[in-house]
Amino acid sequence: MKDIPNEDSVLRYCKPQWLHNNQPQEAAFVLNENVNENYVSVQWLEFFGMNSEYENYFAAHKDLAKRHKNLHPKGVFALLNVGETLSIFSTYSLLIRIQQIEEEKAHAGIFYKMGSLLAAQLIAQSVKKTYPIPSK
Amino acid sequence: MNNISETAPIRTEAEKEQIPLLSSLFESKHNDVNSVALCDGSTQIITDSPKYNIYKKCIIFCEDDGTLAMASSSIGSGSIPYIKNEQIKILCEDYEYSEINRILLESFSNIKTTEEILIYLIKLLPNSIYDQVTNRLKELFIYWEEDTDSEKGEISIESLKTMILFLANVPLKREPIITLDDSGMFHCKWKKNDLISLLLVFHSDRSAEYLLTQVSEYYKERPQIMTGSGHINEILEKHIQTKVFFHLM
Repeated sequence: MKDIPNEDSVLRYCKPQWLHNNQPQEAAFVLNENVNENYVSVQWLEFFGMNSEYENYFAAHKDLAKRHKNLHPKGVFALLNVGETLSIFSTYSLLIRIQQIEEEKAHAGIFYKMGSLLAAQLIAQSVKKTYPIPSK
Repeated sequence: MNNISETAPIRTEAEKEQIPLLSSLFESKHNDVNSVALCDGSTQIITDSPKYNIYKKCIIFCEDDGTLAMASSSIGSGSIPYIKNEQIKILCEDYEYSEINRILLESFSNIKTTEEILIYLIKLLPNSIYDQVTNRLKELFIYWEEDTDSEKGEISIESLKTMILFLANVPLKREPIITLDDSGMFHCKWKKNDLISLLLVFHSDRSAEYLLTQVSEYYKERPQIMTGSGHINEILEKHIQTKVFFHLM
């Protein structure tokens, strides 16, 4: 699997039950133990090759909406910069990888050790901004 | 002297049936709780005894309809909402957390749904945050129902009970930030001035993980971190002794 470049960004769709005042909390980034998740799903923003962050975001939303038809209108998309997120983790000597999951697709993952609440909190703190879910 | 408010809601027969009688668990041991005054639908416990402090519990058993309620704030200003009864037997006991939670858990044992939990919450949470917590839980239940993600599990009722058992035993002044992850586990977080935060994740086996982060005076980029897990009774006992958590709540 290919590492996402440090200068690029990823988007995480955050469900409303993970939010407080529209800000993603740790629940948005903990691994789902029920399905033995080993990564948190995100979209690689620059994969879409548009001219601006906002255009890339819109394309990412359309791509995700095809796969997950019921994005909740009260959810948000959280934007994280890959390099900044990796840098925060290296401060704590915690291992994390942000990698493309499938070739030629925007689907990527934030990989970290299951059970690390600190990792979930650090990712939540790395969120640079949020985008609302576009209305249909 | 009892002044019963006429605005207090009357329990339905269905609610009464859901609340098991616990009279056999209690004995009156203290004589220094002097009076109970019902003001505006709530009950105040009044005592002049200096030995009661914010961590002591007061359990009220209503003889008339067999309901159980608890004040989790300091005796003298504690209040239990919506008790409407002229013959209230006040039972104050210096319970350990393990005993309090055992009693609550026995009364919880038949509760299987989120709707029943919401009915029971009225007894356990301080008035100051009851509305916010209940409204937030109702919101979370709705979002969960509306979420069609096939990989999410079921809401863990036992995680919810663990959280409620914990919240019922702390002198809450601030509303927690409550979220619900895809494993069905409940999270509570308190933050103070963006410098310090406490996160608890409640599990179905009465344990919780905690993560306390505090911005360092010396290394701004690297907060002090305390993390651990354990039975909620142990967390409560340990952190009451060290007073690490409760100033945040």
